Amino acid sequence: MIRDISIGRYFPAKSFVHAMDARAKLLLTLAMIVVTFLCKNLYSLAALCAFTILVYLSSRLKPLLILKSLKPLLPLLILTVIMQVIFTKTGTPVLTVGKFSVYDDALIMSLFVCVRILVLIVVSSLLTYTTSPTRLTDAIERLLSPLKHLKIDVGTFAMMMTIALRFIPTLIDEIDRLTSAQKARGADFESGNLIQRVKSLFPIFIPLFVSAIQRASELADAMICRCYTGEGRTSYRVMKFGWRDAVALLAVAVFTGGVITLNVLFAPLL
Amino acid sequence: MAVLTVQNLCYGYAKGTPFEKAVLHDVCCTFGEGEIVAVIGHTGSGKSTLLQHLNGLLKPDSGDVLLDGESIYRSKAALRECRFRVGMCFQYPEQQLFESTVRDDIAFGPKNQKLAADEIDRRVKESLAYVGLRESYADKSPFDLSGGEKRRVAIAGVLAMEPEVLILDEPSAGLDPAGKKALLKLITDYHAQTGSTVIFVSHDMDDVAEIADRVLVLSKGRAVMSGTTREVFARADELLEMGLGLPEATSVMLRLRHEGLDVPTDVFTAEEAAAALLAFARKGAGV
Repeated sequence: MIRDISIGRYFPAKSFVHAMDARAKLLLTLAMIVVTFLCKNLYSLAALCAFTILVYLSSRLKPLLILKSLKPLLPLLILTVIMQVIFTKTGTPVLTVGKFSVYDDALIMSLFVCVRILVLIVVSSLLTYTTSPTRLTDAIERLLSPLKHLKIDVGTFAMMMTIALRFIPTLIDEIDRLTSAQKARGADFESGNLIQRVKSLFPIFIPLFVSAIQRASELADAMICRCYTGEGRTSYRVMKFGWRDAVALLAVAVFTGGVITLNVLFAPLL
Repeated sequence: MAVLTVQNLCYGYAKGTPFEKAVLHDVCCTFGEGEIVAVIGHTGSGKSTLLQHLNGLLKPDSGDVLLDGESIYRSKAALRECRFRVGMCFQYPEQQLFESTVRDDIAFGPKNQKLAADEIDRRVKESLAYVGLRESYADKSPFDLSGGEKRRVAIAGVLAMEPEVLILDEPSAGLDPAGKKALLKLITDYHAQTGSTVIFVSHDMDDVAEIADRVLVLSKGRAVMSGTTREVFARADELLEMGLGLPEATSVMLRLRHEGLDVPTDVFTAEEAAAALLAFARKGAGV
């Protein structure tokens, strides 16, 4: 069921990561993504994995949760490995079947690409799992606020993002409801060729768009009625960098330094 | 004889996540052939969830749903057949309209049943008649109709499948009094003409008193009461305790009794109340 999708959802809990400042989390997530691509040998890659797991555990979320959201990636990872095995022809052959050989470079490349993809997903999932959408958009608004000097309307942009995020669950519920309603009338979404399957989605998406547009215009009216102009808005929540953010910043800094050191100490594989 | 039997049904949402929530606990109930059954309960009592099991849209965690004595979950084919035999009309069904004409939208169900073109045509006409819309509506766009008309078209879309069991989830929600009345009449007419079983959810106890043969009461995911309309409304105290209402006529009689008048309280419709009060007044005059 579509309800089971956990990517991008927020799971409230009390933990170190949950309590961090959203701005710090956002920036550190970006830093982690950069570091992911800095790893050049197996030692730094191992450090990356270890650090990611440590961070995830400190969020006190169930390991099952992240495994579930990584599951849809499996086909992509398998495809990556197959591509590498077929097209990478450098290094020494480790396995030869007839005319076809698998080279060690292919395996190393596969490992690096897979680990990077997995870490990217874990780190970015962790951000959304532990930060409520409103805080996240607040954080984006604050971080982008220097752009105001360039006459870019950051507030409106943030409001648009908040609204978009707010309505994702609503739309998912709506898809659920419409799917049930059309199934009750005997709609079949599971058989037929590609064209038939695409066609079978019309009874869901046409009413979905109709109601989404209607809802958008009602929301706009409701906002105008409450005197929304987009100007001079202040925030209810005060954001503060705390000791947790300092600790996290330090941890990521030490980790980044460690990865660079490992890169220097040991020969790069890539 | 029971058409639909629900056996020890349990169901919960979002298992394995922090949002996990049990909705139905060990629900048992039966729906007899040709009956009109009302399902009542507080918001969140699991009414809609129960209804969605009756045509196999949801799969229970444990327990079973039997249609004519056979599990509807026994095979994919059985499940599909069940969808055609048990017609389900959701809350605010007008939101599911999608075709460019009323005719095509009503024909969606029969088309999925793979019926012949002339049979589909007959059914479209018939169901339009059932819901009290003229045939000229068939070529209009459903999006140009008024809210009440859209609702009727959506219901016609379910009736066109000629289900043996018709399920309606709050069919009259959001309609004006005249629209509500017309809708109740539509349900009873359809029931009278086809003899099909009708199951409906309603918060309006007057509607329930007027058309239901039997009432099933859900509270916090459990089936707490089941019986004839008369039997269920006779347990007024328990219903009020659950936060449910009573038919207007019953409330009036209970209030009169509370004020010290010796009137009967097993009165559920306005007509019955009028007759009872008249009898009471005559008796009073005689003394």
